[in-house]
Amino acid sequence: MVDTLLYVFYSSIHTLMPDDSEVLLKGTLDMLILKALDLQPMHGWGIGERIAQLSRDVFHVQTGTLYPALQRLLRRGWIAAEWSTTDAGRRARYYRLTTAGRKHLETERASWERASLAVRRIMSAES
Amino acid sequence: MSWLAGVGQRVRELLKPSGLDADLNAELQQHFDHELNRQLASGVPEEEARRRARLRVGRLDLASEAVAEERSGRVLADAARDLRFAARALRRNPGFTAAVVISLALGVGGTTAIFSVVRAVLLRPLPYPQSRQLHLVRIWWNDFSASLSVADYVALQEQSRGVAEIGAVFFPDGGFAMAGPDGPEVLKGMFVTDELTGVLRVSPVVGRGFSGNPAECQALIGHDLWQRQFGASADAIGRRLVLDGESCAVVGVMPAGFHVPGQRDDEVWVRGRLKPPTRRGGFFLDTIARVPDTVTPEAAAERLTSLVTPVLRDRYGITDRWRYGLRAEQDVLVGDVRETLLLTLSAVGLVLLIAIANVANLLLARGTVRTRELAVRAALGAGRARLARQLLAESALLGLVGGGLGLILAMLGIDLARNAAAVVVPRMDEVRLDPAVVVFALAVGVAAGLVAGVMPLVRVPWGALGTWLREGGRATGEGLRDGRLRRVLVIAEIGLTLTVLTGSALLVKSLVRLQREDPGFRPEGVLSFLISLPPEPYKDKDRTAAFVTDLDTRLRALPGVTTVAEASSLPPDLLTFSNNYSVEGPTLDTAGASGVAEWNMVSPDYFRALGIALVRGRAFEDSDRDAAPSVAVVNEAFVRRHYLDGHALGKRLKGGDWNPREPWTTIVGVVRDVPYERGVWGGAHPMVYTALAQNMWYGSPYVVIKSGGDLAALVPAVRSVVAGLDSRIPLRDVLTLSDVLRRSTTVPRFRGALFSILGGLALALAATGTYGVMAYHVSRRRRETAIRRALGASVGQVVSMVLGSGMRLAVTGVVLGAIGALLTTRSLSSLLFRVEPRDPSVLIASAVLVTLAAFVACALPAMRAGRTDPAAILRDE
Repeated sequence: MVDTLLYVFYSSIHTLMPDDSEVLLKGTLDMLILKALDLQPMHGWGIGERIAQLSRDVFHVQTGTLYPALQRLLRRGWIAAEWSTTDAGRRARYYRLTTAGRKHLETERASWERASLAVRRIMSAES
Repeated sequence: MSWLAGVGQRVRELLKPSGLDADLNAELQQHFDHELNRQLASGVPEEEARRRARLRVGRLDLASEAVAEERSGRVLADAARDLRFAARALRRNPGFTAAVVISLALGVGGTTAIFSVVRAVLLRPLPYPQSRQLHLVRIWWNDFSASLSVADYVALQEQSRGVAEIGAVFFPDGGFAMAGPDGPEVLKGMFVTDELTGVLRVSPVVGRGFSGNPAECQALIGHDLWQRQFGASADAIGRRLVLDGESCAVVGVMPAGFHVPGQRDDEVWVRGRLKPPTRRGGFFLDTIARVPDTVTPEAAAERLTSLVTPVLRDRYGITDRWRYGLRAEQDVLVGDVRETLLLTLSAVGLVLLIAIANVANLLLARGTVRTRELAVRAALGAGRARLARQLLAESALLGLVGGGLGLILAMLGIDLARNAAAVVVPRMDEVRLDPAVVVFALAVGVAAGLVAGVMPLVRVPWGALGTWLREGGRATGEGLRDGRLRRVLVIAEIGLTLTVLTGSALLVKSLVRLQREDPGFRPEGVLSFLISLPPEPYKDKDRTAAFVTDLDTRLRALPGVTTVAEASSLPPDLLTFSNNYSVEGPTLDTAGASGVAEWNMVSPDYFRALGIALVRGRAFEDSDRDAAPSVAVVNEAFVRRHYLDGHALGKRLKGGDWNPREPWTTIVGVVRDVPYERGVWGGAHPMVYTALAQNMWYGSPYVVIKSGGDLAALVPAVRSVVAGLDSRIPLRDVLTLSDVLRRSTTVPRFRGALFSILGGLALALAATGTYGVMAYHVSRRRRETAIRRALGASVGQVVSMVLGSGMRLAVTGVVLGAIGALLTTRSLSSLLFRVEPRDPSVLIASAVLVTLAAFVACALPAMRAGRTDPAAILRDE
């Protein structure tokens, strides 16, 4: 009962005042993860490393950001996860891209390219 | 609905101790191990490698928490985080938290206590099927009303088909003497007509109820009595109970908890065998009508009146103007308690408002202090919404805790007051903690917290947080608006308090007036009890007369006893019956005006025993016996009604319906007015006293014993005198007349006590609220005060400056509160006794009290301001 009251109270406040500090890079990070997994299934650390490597060490994704993002993508059905054994013989949780995820990555990539091209044009325009 | 399902899903996810957690932790640990391996592979020593890995990976516990948040949905996670944060912040300020929680708990506690009573008493229907159809029927002659007579009841049974179902109870307070091994035991109960259980729609759980020979004594018994007396055996049916000396067959067991409307302890219901009436009189049947939902009570009353009128005219020659009136049984039971409860609820609501203002003030004061914290967090990147939610979470949490504590207070209060209140408030035993009450308390608490929390929220200088920090945290631009809101809140608190306090003071003054009012009789040193003579052998008038005479003689012989008397009714609220009568007309032997008056049959020493002053003529004498001419004594109200010239002595009247053959009764004396019906509050009505010795058909008189000694010590002796005359007869309702008088003022005393507590509560809340604001005001202005002092202001100037600014608020509040009181106390009119709702002395006294409290609340901080040491403070700065 109290839970419900609090929930109703909070969701109304939440709807009225959405958090404004954390929306920033969420979509972009999701896209980067999907892209990293596009090459091959990987465990969490591998994904982080791949992103760092691909971005030439510009992006360091910490666990506090990475794992919630993975959770989010799992929920949306864009990636799947299962436990298996690594080359070194240790158990690890591997993530792989699903068909839906691949499709989503394609649309994201297209719109990202359009957007980034547009931004580059704006930024490089002679004033 | 899908939204709701989503909520459920998320709540479940949040609550379940998920197996995923173990997986997640393993996964995170592995992540760390991978990183560590890589660092080790680059050749650094293990210690350094661990450090770097930790740095690169981030805190694993935070990651785990973040995933949990992601999993359970952001909203609840935010809520949980905000609440955790709020709890931490509140724990850091125990003094502040306690002040807020206590304010809220008092407000919520009072509101919840009264709400739970209102819910049980006013809102919940009576415990009978379709109980809203049940109505009490009374006869009305203009503005006078009475219960029904047997003549009415018989006519209604014949005529009411299709309009209403009619049943009745009578002598509901009498009870029955049941013969037992240890002498007679009094069972609470009454007579009921055959139709009653059908009208209430409650059937016996065992047995068939009344049936067969209508002259046989049959009894329905309560569930408890069944277990006590018969071991809950079905064999009880057909067994016999000896009630008031008559053997009655048990014909049914009523369900557990069954009571006749308005009764609490009744456990035996004897078939009321009504004798065929010869006149319309003896108005003693408490009659209940079940009216179908399709008919309004007014229409039903009108229909019943028009159906019965010709019948009564034909049978008994009734031609005067009368009508039936129906009133919902629930309203009857609640009676004037409804008004008291609703008024209390509004008063308590005002106290809650004061508490909210108090809390808002405390939050405001703290809000200013916290601007710094908010500014820092905003600078560190916390969003505005996040901060606002945080503040509201704190208010909600405070409200929740305050509400919970208030709930506990309410329940404690109700438990403490339950017994005292049960005398006053019907259905008090039905008041309990149910989910609705819990939700009410918590919801009121949270709502109060949020209302109080929103006020400081709008005062946070959101746009200027950054600037605020840059300016060294000393910007005072917002302080002005802030201060204004705080001052308005103080004024509101003081105003509301004066309104509540004035109401309380009016009720208390009424109570004082009521208790000082001369009741017209002297209750001191008088013991009273009721005896009820069983029909065998006392339906013989001579046996009754002999019993009463013997009793009277033997009681007089007891040590210390000065006077003994018997009467059918006792003041101030033990009226047994009223009667109709006709006074003699302008010409001899013709009926003049007729009416209904209170009727009391008394023995000769009655007026002396009770100290009722004889105004004119004589009291009854021993010679006023059966064969002597019938005589009456009337009170002054009766004289005022019929004899405008004041000469009543020698005038004649006849009791009952006009009958030319009945002998006249002559008025031989006039006595002072004494209230008999509703205590001193209800006042006296026209009363006719007749001689008990000339009415020996009546076998249930009260006995009053006036004694100079200890009344309690007298009781055993009295008991053995009665047992010596007839061992079957118990003493009933043994009370001192002083107790009877005190009991008759229970409702006003209860009301007075309740409102005194509320008034005191309001005063305490307002005083602490004012103190808080002034103390804050002083502490904020320490620097300014120090400078003033350094520039030469005297201590007196500083003190009077603070005091002046505080008292300006107080006086404004008092003026507004006085206006509020003048506008609202009219609603108390019906609860006041000999006090005007706008009684100036009450208003002035309340205003003075509130002003004094405010003065003390301002004086303490003012004195602290006066003690300011300019050097020390300016050095600190």
